[in-house]
Amino acid sequence: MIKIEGVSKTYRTKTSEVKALKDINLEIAKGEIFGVIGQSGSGKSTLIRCINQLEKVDSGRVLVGDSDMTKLSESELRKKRRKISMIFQHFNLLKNFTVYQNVAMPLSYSGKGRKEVEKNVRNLLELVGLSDKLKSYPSQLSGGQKQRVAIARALANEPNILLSDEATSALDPETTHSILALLQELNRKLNLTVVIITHQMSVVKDICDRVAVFSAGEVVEQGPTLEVFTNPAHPVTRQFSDSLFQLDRIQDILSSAQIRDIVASGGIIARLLFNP
Amino acid sequence: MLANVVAGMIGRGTVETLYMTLVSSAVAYLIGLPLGIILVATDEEGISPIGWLNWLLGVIINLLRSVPFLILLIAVIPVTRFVTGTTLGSTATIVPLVIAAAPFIARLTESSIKEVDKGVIEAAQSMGASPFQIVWKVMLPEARPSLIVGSAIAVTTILSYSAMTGFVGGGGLGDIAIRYGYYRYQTGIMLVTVALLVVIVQILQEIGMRLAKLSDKRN
Repeated sequence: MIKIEGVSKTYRTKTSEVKALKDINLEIAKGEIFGVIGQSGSGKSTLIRCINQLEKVDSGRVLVGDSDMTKLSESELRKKRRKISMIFQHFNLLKNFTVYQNVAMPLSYSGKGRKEVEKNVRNLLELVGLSDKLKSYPSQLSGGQKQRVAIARALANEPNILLSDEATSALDPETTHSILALLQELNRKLNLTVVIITHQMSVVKDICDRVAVFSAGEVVEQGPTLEVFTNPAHPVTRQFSDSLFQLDRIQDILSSAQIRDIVASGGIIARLLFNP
Repeated sequence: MLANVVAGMIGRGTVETLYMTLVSSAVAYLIGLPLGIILVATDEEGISPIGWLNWLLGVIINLLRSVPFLILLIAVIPVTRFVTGTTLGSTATIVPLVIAAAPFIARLTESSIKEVDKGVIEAAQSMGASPFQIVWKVMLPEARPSLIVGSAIAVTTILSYSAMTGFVGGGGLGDIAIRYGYYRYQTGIMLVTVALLVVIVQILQEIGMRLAKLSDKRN
């Protein structure tokens, strides 16, 4: 579905150079939820923006379906983008537009009739559970509701791919959970390929089938989520998996003087209970 | 009898002032608004960057804006005569007013549109919106409250410029204030016209602010 081949990108200013992406190779299959996790500044946002060409690459190919996104003309790119939707950390809703108008926005770009638009918008809002908010403005909604509107808007043109750029980073844990559940539901219901960029380990753990770990512009590890994090090979991966299981706390307990004394005197730890 | 004559003159002056101000504003917006949009769109970080056009427009606008209005008023007399056939009266003053106001409006528009959240524009791009659609369906509606506030500033500025045109034979309240107040030392008439100008500015500003508030749904 999505194939990233040898993609590099460097930001240049007068005084310095930042290599945001260094020869990235990734393959994302149709219908899967693929996670890209990394610390902020690691280049993961640049990567997701290369997929829909909000960010141009210096070299390499970005294949979506059969077409190389880097070689499309402006009008071909616009057409293609309608099938690759994106949601954002700060929702990016039009503040002077109602919920209805926001969701109808992408439909108006592709020139659909008014009746059809209305039917689609109502269906979409029902899908994300906001049928009663048609006439509200974004400022009247909670963060979770705003992201739901953004998701409805992203689905308006019936995309095959949904790109999520830190979409849950501005939300509280509970809301994050419900948004993730929605993404998972959409993935199954609509066979939507979902690419998730995040720095939150819980997001990857909850819904990603496969994951790539990003550090300093490079993919340092990738594979099925469980495999990558139960057997981390790279320090960054270990950091992320530790943050989930809090293994450092267990390490602390094991290396405490009390335990050391027990082990030194020939004792065995039969059971270690750990309550984070 | 005399009071009636003066009242009639001031009444006509008020109508002329409003006529000059509103017509000049409308025409200046027809020119300045698209220019402002082009300035934003062709910017280095805009939705369709065209370096040379952006630079050229910037230079022309800055040139026009740096000429003091009174000098501009005199300098464009040939243009005024060419367009309106005369250099006297309120219709003639519309030409210099538009030339002075259009670049000002272009800058006001530019700064209003630049306030629009970049993320929203990026979202529209990610949905496959064309540059024209982004301008029409994202930038202008999102900048609307700020554009309205800007238009109140523009219209009141044009009003005060229109008063200055009295010096070169333009019409309106400014002309009366200069002829009676300045040349004939009739302070009373001058004070009345100035008071009227103040009231008109107040009303226009207030209308602008209320409209802006009504159209602002940001919080």
